[in-house]
Amino acid sequence: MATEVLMPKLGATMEEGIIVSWMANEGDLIEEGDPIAEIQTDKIVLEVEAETTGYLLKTLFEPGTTVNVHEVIAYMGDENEPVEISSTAVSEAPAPQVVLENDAKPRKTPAANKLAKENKISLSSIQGTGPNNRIQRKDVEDYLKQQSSSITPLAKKMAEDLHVSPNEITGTGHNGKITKQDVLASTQVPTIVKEETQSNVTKTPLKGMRKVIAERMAESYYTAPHVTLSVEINMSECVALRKQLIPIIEKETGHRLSYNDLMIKAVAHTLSKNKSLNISLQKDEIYQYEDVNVGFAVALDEGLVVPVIKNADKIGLSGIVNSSKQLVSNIKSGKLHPEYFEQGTFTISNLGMYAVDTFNPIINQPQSAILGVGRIVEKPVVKHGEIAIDPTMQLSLSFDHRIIDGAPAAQFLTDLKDYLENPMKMLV
Amino acid sequence: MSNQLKGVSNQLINELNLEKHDLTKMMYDMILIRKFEENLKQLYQQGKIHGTMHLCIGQEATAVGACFPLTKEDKITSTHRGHGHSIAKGTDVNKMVAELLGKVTGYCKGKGGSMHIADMEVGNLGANGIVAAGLPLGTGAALTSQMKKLGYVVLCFFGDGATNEGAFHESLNLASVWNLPIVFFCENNLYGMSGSIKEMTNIESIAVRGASYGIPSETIDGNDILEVIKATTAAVERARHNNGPTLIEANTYRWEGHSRSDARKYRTREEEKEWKKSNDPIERFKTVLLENGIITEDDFAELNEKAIKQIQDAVEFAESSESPSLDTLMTDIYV
Amino acid sequence: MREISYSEAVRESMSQMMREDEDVYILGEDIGVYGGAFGVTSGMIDEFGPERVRITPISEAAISGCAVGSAMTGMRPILEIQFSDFVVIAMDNIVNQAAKMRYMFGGKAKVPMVVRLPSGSGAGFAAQHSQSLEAWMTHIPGLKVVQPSNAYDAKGLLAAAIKDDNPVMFYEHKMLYNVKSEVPEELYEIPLGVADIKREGKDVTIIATGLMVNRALEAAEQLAAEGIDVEVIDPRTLVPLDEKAILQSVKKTGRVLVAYEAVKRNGFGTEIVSLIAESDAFDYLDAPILRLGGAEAPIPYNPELEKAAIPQVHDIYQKCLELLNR
Repeated sequence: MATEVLMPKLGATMEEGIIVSWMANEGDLIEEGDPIAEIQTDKIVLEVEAETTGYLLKTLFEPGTTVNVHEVIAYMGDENEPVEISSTAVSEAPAPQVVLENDAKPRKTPAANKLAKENKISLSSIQGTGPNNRIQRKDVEDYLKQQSSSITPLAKKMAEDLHVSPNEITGTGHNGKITKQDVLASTQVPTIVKEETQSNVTKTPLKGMRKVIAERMAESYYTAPHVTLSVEINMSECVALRKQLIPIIEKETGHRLSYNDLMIKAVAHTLSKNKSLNISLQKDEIYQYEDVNVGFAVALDEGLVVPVIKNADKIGLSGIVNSSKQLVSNIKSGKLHPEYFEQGTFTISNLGMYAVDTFNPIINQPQSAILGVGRIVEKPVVKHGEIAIDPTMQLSLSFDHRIIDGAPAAQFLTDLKDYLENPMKMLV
Repeated sequence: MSNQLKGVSNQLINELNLEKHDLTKMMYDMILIRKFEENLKQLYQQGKIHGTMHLCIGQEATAVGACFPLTKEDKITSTHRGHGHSIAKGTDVNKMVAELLGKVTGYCKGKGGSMHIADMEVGNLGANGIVAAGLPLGTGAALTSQMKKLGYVVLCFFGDGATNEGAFHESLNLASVWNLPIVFFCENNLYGMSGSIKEMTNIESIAVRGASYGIPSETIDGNDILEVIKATTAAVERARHNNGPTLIEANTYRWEGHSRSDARKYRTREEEKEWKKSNDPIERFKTVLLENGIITEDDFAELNEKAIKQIQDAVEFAESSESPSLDTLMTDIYV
Repeated sequence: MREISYSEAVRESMSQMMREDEDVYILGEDIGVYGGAFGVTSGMIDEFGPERVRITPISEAAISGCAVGSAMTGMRPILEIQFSDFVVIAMDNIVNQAAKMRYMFGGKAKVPMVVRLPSGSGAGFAAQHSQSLEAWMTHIPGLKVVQPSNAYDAKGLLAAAIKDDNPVMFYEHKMLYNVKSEVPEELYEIPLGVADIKREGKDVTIIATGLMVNRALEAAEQLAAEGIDVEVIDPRTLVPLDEKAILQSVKKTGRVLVAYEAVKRNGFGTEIVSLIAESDAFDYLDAPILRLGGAEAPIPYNPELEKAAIPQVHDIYQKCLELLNR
């Protein structure tokens, strides 16, 4: 009996995944743990691994197809074992590229068939309610009705924000579902682009992690009205504190305390006092989070990922150091477990290691605020009426003005500045 | 030919007091019918005639004699063996051959063929492929004449075989009770297809059946055209004067088989030879005309030549005519 | 408007046509002082006399041929066949003569006649006097076939049939003879080949003929009480058939029941089903087409058996529910 390979659910919010590529061909022997397919979620690209050793008997979808979670995407089993496509797989599958036995053809009335053809939908996606599960016109109508409202929550929100009617958008997702890409595509004014004639250009398809980033950045940029507040921090106290703590923490954790770790701690502490920034807008609801889970951007060759330190306000600096170093180490070694990236409520983007003073970070949706961190540089500062040379750093807070007003954001930044310039206060 | 037969005809030619012109015309029509039928045999053998046909060679006297008393307004109904009836009633030979060749210039635009030649203009209500079907139709036509006071008479041709059909009996009864202007003219050629009338009925003559319906009836020598004329003239007059229908049984003989596919196993060649030799209606009429000085042998030869020529012309006309276009398949189904 | 019965409507139509056209006459068995087996011609002989209301011998073969012959020669006969079953005795004249004259004579003849055929079961006349053989006639090119379902239609269709230059088989239903409906007094024609939407609806189409039209309407009332909106189409003439009206309704509802009294097997409803299946209305079907027809048995005598032999109101009701998966 062939084993079903299902579209995995790679996170609590995952409803569907895109098959990016098949990593084995039909007929190949696959060892347990070997990758079968590359799957893209709205967060990340991951591999589906074989649970047992066996032959890949049949793949049901072309790369690029969006498939609902828990839907059969392939079959594995003994060599040359015949595959019986289960009815649940078939009824869910959008026009699978396999020859089905006649019995598997859905019964349908001519009227249902006609309506389906007119709307370019496959009857195999529709559950018939007539005698012998015959698909009737009403079933197709109901399906279409559901499809017309079939728009991802995100796309719906984007469409609303952009004042685009979903009716005007052609869905390209699963069964014509409107996705964020569709919304974005619908808002772009077509321009005449001169054909690229330069010869020294390398064209790479937008895919994988880069594609996810591209989409998420654009989505955030276009849907959330960003306001960015900046402040200069006098880092004298922090620099001094870090010097004192480095050996202590190193002794305890084996890791060196970084400014980033300090930033995470300070931000977590400030957030716990300013929960009005620890929120998220999803669909039509504002989520107020109790837990303070601070993400921090990590650059990889393929792009950017944001691992999350959960309850960062409740753990000590050693804990933060431990977590962050472990996460970065795992990620850099290619272990991209979805849970690393889940449930963040705030993000820190630190470009302090570069010659960057200040920048406008883009919010990591569905979070509502992000802190951009610049380099620490010694500058003349006015202190007690005198000019002194102190280490300073620029912070930029971008926030989603739809749900966060200027005052609470300013208060957050003010408090954060206070904690960074007087780190002892965090102990109070 | 027996002297007895000759004697009757010589007596009749005086009694009927017919014009030379009419007698010659009748002689010509009989020859024409025979030449027409003989020519069809050839055309059939040449594969130019589709289907089948029923020839009336040997029955020329009944056809021509029965139609003689009829006016153009009077009507006939005919049978599957109807070419003679049509010619005698004045139907155009050209259009008949054209119909037999399935041409659009034929009487039925090539859609009827041998068994459905009809010509309403000369009162020919049509041959019929159904045995005895002409009798109720003729009865209806006679009813029209009566109801609309049109004064015409209907003569129904049918064979001996038809007299065992219910339609024969029902029609005679109906025509009798309604006193219709109709003549029921039975050509008893002894065979209904292969069935000898002697085997198919248990009566001496068909004419006795008229009595059952109160219809005056008689049996006549159908190969003596003058006897046919005499009997039919009386019947037509009776009908025209509202004295009701008449049944005439005219004895004759079908020289050919029933149709083109008949090996004639049900009768002897001797029987056929005897009829042809001693009871050919054309020879009998010719003899009477010669003996009474109406025509000469030269006149007869001339009539013969003329008939052959007319048939040749008809074949030429038919062969040079167009076939019906395929779109006529669906025309003339409804008015 | 005044109401008259179906048989009165048939009589009135014949009488009015006979007053209008001298060539129209009626012939048949016992149609004089007796008034015909069903009294349809009652009193007509008094007005028109025995010349034009011709009592015939019991000779279907002769009188049918006589009607054809007189039609060919200028009359417009109405032939009453006492029971439609007896038409089989007249079949040669109808099938081989009347229907084919025009065609086989190359368009040179016409046969303007009407054959009136009291048909159908329900009166306890058993197997030889209760049949519905209209489908036989629809098979014959050259014949028109009419099947009115109420008095109004009967009058107008008969007038059109009498005026028609083709042989028309006019199927009357003996169980409808006493059914009254509103009928205008003046003469009017309903063109042959135009169906009537007897009831408009959107959920199910019932295409019914003859008596079944009335039963379909009754069933539709019951179904309406359950919120089912039934459309009832009465073709009124089977040949020519108003295909457009049928297909339009099918496209509208997508669910079809064809109901007829004749034996189900090869009854005319079978033709209607084929028509739908072959047409572009097929794509609109949302359920298999269903048929209700008579039992494939001779009509029995016993009243309960006789009832069971043909579709009843409840059968139609049930089939509609079946069409709607209810």
